[in-house]
Amino acid sequence: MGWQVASYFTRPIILPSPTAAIGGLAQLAIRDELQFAILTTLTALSLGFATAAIMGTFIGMLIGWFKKAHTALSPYVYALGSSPSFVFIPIIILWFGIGFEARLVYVIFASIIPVIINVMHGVRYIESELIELAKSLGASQLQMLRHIVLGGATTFLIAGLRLGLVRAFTATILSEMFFRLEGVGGLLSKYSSVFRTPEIFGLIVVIISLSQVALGVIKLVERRLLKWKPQIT
Amino acid sequence: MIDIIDVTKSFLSVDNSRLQVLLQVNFHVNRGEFFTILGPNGCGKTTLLKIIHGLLAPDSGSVLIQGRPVSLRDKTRSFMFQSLNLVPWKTVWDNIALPLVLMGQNKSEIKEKINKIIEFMGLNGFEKHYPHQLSGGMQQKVAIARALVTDPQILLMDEPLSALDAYTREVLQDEILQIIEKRGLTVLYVTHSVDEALLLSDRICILTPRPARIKDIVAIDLPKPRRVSLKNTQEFSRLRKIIWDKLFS
Repeated sequence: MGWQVASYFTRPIILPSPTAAIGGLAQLAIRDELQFAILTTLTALSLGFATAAIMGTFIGMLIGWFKKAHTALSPYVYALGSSPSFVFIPIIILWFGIGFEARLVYVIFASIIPVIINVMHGVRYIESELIELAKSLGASQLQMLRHIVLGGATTFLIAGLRLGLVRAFTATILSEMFFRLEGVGGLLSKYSSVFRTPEIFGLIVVIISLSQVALGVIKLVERRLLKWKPQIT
Repeated sequence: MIDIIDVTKSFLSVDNSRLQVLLQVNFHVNRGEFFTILGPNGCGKTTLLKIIHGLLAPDSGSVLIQGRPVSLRDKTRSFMFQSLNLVPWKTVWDNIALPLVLMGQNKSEIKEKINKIIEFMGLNGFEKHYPHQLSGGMQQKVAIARALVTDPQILLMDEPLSALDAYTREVLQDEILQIIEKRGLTVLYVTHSVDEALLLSDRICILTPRPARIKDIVAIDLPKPRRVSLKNTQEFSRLRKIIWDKLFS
């Protein structure tokens, strides 16, 4: 509403009206450009983030569980986690080019660190009683990881997934704008360069909606993984 | 069946000094016997039980089960923890299945054994519940079921009833008595409750305050089968006084 009213008093190139933005999107949709872009973006995002989630859980468990691995590797994990991931873009382009693989690598790289850090912490906070229980039952190290450590780290894993998703989404859009122009980020970049403001606003709305869908998926995963927890009301 | 030979154990305390917990503990437990370790709080009863199961290593001395050194790989023993240690993200069914899964048994075998033990413990209808959805007494039953599902010969119980209210506690004391009679188990039981020790045990081993040594081992010749109502008899009161005096002298 505010947007629509404000747009009456501004030039369309600065602030187009919502109807204009929808019109711009419709233009894109008619040419199938929009659907294709969304599909491209979602493919890179979901594939990249799923890989990061699985690999991150695995690596986080190993670093959290084995003391020597923790001493040797955790400083590097923290160092990577506290620096902006886009400084690695030139290297990624150098090694992987500007195509789909490069985007995928960048998404994984950007989003895996919070998953690793959170799972790592989760593992280190597992109740010692449960570890003692598994020991009393003669569990091997591998069984311990599978039956006790993985489950014990779930709460932290979910927190890591939430943080990781935001990073994965940012990385997807960034890579589409700065590698070869692809997907929603590519469209955004393309229409920015020719000052097509209605399309730009329309695309921003699309990006925000996509992020909400992605967060919804995380919520579903959370409900599935944490259904054993007493509900806090 | 179980030999505890010269077991000594100390821990490193916070100020880096050595805290002597167990001092040359020796005893022998016979097959089919209910043997209780009784002692004041914090004297090292739990430490002793964990050493007997192989969860802790003694500084010196040894534990022999049927003449062989104790090992965690040996599945003829089950350990029941004071804090129950049910896995919160596993259902009742999966909690009971855990020892069998870790042993690598196949699915149909596991299913059959669990069905049997669930029936035996009266846990029907709770298979899909998570631990936090159960009362303390029910959680206790799940822990007992998990301990029995591997069909052990020896049961090590560390104050398993201490977290329960008085009523549930008596009900479960009765239940434990019946289970042990039915299954002919050898039991090592740790408690600080004199009444519980008297009701359940064939022999009671009384430990001194830390560092724990054996003060006395008393045979309890109350008639069997025993039931909770035994607590109201004169003979029970007489024995209670004897144990009490030994514990606090």
